[in-house]
Amino acid sequence: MAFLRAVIRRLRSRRLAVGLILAVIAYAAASSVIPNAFGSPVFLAVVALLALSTAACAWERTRSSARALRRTGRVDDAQVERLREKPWLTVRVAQGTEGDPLSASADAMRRLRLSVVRGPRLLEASSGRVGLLGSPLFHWTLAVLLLVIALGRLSRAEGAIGVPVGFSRTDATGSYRTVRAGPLYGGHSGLTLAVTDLRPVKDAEGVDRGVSPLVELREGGTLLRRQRVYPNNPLRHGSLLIHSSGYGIAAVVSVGSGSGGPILQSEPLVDFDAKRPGGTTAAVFDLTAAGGKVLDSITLTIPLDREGGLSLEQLPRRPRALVTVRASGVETSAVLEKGGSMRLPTGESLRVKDFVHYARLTVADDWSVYPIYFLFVLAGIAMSVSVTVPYRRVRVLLAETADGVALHAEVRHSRGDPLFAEMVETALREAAGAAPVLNEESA
Amino acid sequence: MTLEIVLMWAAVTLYAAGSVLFTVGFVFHRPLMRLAVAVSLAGLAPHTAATAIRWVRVGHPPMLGFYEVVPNLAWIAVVLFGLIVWRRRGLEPIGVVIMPISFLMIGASMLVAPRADMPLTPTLASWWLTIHISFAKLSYGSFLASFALAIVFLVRESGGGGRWSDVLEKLPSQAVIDDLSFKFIAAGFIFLGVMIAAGAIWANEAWGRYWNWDPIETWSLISWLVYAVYLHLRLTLGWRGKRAAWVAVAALPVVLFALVGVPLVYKSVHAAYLKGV
Ligand code: HEM
Repeated sequence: MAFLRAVIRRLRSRRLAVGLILAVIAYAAASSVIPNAFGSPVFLAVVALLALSTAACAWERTRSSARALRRTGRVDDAQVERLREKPWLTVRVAQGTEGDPLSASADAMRRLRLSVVRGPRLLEASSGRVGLLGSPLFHWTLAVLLLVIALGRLSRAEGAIGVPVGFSRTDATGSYRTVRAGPLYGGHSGLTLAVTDLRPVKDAEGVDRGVSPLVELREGGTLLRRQRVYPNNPLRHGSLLIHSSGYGIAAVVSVGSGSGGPILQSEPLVDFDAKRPGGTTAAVFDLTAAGGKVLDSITLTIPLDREGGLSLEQLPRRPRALVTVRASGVETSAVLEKGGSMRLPTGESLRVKDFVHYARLTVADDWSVYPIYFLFVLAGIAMSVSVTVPYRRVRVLLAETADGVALHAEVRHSRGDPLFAEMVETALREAAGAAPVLNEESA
Repeated sequence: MTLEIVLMWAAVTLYAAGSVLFTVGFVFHRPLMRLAVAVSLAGLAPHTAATAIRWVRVGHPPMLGFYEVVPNLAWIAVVLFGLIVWRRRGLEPIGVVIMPISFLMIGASMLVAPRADMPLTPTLASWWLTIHISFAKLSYGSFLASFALAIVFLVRESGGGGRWSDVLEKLPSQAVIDDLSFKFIAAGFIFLGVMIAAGAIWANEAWGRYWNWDPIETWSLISWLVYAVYLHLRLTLGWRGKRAAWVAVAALPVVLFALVGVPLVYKSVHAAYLKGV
């Protein structure tokens, strides 16, 4: 317990805080030239320490702010004594001043928009008490934000999936072309993703949104969502966020014996690539035919139409698939149009049933996104409160001194605004009948 | 296009004249300072008109490409400067710092003006982008103001002898200048925070990833943290006056690097706003 307390005391050191922030800065600057350095354990450790330190500070600030709030309007004997012996400002009350100088001071403080609590000889005027909570809330929010980001990263999955128009895929590991999941990821949703259309669209305001798929999300037979997906307009469902990150061409290919046996189907995907001869990449896939004989691989590519020396990034007017099949070490090639077929070395026939566009969807599954948005907003509010609503407090004691009655005052401004002290001084002097200043220790 | 360019050149000329008048007024003859303020603020009229014409013509706010972004920063800086001298008489001399910087920014952009039109791509068509960019401007404007105030503070602190001293004496007290510099940093820190958050939200909406450690993202975060260090030094370790002013001065180059240097140094995919340099 004592050990824990000692650790927390260390963590909330203000020098440590500055040192840690500087360390993060130095590391981030260095890492912006070294690839992938942000995942390094050193960086993560520094950030983790900063998060802990921020939480420790927030805890301490919360307690001290709460204490200050509770004590508002209550001044203990030691504080009165300090005010009597060592005031920040002393103003002698002029002889023959009408009325009660403390009441005049109270009015003056109210004119400065402070709210006043007073006794017979002492008053406390303050404002901006909520401001005291801004800084602790801001630091709490930062600490929680770092925690949520860390947990979010650990339990997030992100993958790319290609869905031909008119087809669907299941949100499951096997469907993804590439997928990255954190160690705490709970598993894919098993929902069905379908693309029913793909075309260039403009939105309601006429802004060009690019080539965009119409995406449906289904659970069994139930339609959950149906939406055009384009940048800044992802499809959302719970923690799923589906973006469109491009499109390409798919061929719908089947293999079967043609004599009533089972038919296997696949939709190999081909991407645009200006560096390749036909303007597209080649898809390599395999289909194990019914006869139990294994095809080593099928390679398929679809050359694009060209115009003015450039490949047109769309389905050609009369698409053809260049197919090369390797089976038991033997290679066979063919050029197939829609409906065309070739005999495989295994005896079955391979048919190209159709050519369609396909949509490349990025599926991110991350529960932490909305909590992070929320924390952003909270941090902004807390920080704004902390900066724009400074806590201001004035205490004034009516004291008897050797040369008559005087006002002893103490001023606190949480942001140390020098103009506030000036205004208080002027106001108190007026309240005391514009007597000269006797002493002025600090500003 | 031509009217826009003519107006821009008018603004460049007035800002240049303002810079010269400020410098001369600051060094030799204080009454010139009034004229300097008037001439500089007069430059805002053609600048604003040119920006409006362009906005209508290209159909998006001035936020894409060097030619739109950098003069717009200058515009914000001059407007902020106008607000400062309007609220606090006697702060005119910070124009000596602000106007030449604004002049350089708008002047440099004129060199690339002719090839500067950029379409709004689907990714860029987002409200988050508008928020992102507005707050970026506000933060850079605030940091520039804090920098100028810190410079004024330091010049006065060093005893700024001879001819300068009567000009400098007319300024508000050092404590007030110091405090204003801090206030601009606090405001700029909030604005930059909003800018980063809006950028992260926008990235998530556009690509499905809120943070990617792209060099521009990294350097914006660094800038933000640098000002967090300033605020901590001031509020928790009691740095004020000269030491705080030096930190404020040293922090600005980090921000400028994040804004202008990073796209030049790193070839970031992110830097649509500086294409055309
Ligand atoms: C990510 C890290 C941090 C950031 C970005 C940050 C940012 C800030 C900012 C902007 C302020 C000024 C506004 C305000 O008072 O709320 C501030 C004040 C402060 N911070 Fe931090 N902070 C961080 C971590 C810490 C840590 C680790 C400590 C512990 C020593 C700390 C202690 C304080 C204190 C004591 C204040 C002054 C509060 C006041 O005067 O009312 N901060 N911080």
